[in-house]
Amino acid sequence: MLKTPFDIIRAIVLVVFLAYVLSIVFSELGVPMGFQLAQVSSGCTDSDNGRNHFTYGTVKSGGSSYNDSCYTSTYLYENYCSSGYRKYEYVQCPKGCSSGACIGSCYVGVTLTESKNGDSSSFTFQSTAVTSEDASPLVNQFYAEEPSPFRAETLNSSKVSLGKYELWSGRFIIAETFSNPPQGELIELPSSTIDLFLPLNRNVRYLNLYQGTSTSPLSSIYLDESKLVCGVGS
Amino acid sequence: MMMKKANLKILQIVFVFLAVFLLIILPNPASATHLGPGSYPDRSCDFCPDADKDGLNASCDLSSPPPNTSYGCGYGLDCDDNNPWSQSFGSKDIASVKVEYSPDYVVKTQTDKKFTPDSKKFNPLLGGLQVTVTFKAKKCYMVKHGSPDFTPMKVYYTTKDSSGSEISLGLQLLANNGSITASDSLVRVSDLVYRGSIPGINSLTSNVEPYIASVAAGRPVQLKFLGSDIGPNKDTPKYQPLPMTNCAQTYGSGRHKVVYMRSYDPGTSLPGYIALANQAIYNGFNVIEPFKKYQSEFSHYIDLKLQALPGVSLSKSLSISQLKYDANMVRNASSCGSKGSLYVLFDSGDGSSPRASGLKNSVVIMDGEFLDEEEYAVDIGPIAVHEAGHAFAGLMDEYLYPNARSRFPASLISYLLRAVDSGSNCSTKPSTQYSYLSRIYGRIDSVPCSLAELSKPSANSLMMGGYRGNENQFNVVSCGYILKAIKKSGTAKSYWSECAAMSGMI
Repeated sequence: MLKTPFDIIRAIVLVVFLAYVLSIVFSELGVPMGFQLAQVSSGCTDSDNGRNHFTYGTVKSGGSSYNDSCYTSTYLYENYCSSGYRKYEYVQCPKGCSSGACIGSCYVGVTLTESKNGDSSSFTFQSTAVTSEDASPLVNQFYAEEPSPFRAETLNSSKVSLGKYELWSGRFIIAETFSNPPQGELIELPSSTIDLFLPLNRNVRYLNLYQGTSTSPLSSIYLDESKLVCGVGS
Repeated sequence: MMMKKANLKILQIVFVFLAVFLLIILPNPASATHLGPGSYPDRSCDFCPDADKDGLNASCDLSSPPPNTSYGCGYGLDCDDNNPWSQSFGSKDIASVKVEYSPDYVVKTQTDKKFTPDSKKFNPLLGGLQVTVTFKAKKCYMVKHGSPDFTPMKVYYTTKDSSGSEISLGLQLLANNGSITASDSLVRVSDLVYRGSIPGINSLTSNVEPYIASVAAGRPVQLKFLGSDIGPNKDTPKYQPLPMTNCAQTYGSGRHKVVYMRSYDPGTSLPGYIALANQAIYNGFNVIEPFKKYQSEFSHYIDLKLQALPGVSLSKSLSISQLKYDANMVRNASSCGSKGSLYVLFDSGDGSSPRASGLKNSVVIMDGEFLDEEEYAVDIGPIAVHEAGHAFAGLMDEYLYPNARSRFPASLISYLLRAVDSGSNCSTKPSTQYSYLSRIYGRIDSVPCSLAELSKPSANSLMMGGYRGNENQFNVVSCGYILKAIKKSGTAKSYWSECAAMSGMI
């Protein structure tokens, strides 16, 4: 077929030309090609608040709507807003793609500093870290009939409860020997660091911390939604 | 609209350009050269193949017309028969290397250890590896004799120490003339592909610490293939990086990760540490109910890294009451990530076998020298499970802390009592707190339980610590809290009937 250099040149010219024509046709039809092609827009909104690969969402930009969708059974076509423009990316989902989102759940780890406060503790917020790793073994649901010493509660922007979780102190340690008789000591540390893992709910805005079943929070923490973005690999 | 017009204009220009190109330039016969009867191109020997990539092309045969696209290249060997490198495979001829766990090792691990080893994560205790080597091109010897020739080649596990000096462990991979040795040689898959098994690092040396230190410091560990020099011809090594971790999965594949760690004084051996971890697994979690029944929910990992955790250590200079540690520091120092359900850190103690756990803080610190103390001569498995009762399930000790109210701060007693009121194996009201659906699941007349005024569900149990005699069983009430922690849903009480039906339960 391609016996001479001229055959090859002719073939290259044809391929380049056809690619160019196709790009114009696809562009006119609105079919996306390649990555990170910006859609000209004066405003952009994203219902799943960014590059949240595990949440289905719709971007509205320039009068058009763009839904997150499964490009294949393993690749997600994710739309998001960046600097007021609609952008998109194709992402390989580790456990596959379904209904416009990667299969799996996300968790948020809230790091707290616990300090002695009289006979109890106070908690101050340090940071959040979102993960798509399975942190379900670290999430402890709160049951009022068996209340943990402290409790964490997530709330939406209207302060409606979204979930209740156990919170245990990190300041108290049992030190013991296995001699006979055993020597047991209780040790109280002045402070400790606690990582509290919670399922990531996109509506969560506040984290309240309580002692036991009390209804008066020891502290209330605002969770910035822009810090709760969960993508593949996070 | 403007965009459309601009695009159409560009399209028109491209059409004109293409038409000119196709109609004027390409059809010019003077500029075309093609093969055909009576018209042979002026070919040089550069067009003849250099199949073995040794820089020498197959000989040209210009005396007769080429039969087809072979361009008249002769059938002679495209190599120098006098150059041994043109004859034999050496490490410089390796195109690529694939390293994975050997199928035998995978099957054995699945059967004996209940997990599938991940070939994307090797560790310095790795088992048998399978290497698949693909060479670049055939060699003259193969063309002549139909079988390959190999230079004597070795494969090394190699890394560098902190000063940059290379550390290598080598083993013979291939003997000369392609002869195959019993266990550690490559066998032919195809002309260019050879496959074989090599043992792990710990099978080659009793000291894998330099490799562990290297992985901990982020220095690469590689397989290095090196053939022999032939006369003045030097072979060049082929390096294959290995994806390494110090987090060695050792049993099970469940979602609750139990991570063993070490922070030792110098002189304590790696085998001793591994023995401690194995005792915890095989004499503890895998045999004591309810962990035994739910062992498929757990996976056990040995973190090989030697940790330096100031402030965490059970230092010899500290008494047990001076112990300080930060559970988060232990979690975050782990090579296995911070999302484990339980971390068991073996530390160096003062020989009095101290250990420490927080209630439900997921971290246990144990005296690693305990095993070496002959005077104790006890199995560490049940002790690790007792500590897991505290750190994993929030259970309290069922023996008495003497004079607790005078020795411990009020805030500490207050927290303990709040934990009891929350629901615990210790109770202020056993007749109601040990009751569920009209059935009592524990004794209501047995004291003390950590504090003198608290009751415990049974006279003896594993939570009695050193007072337990040989009792390595939990009571039903404690079992419920363990199942609550394992299953992550439901109350402890809702599991008491299941616990009561288990054998191996008080």
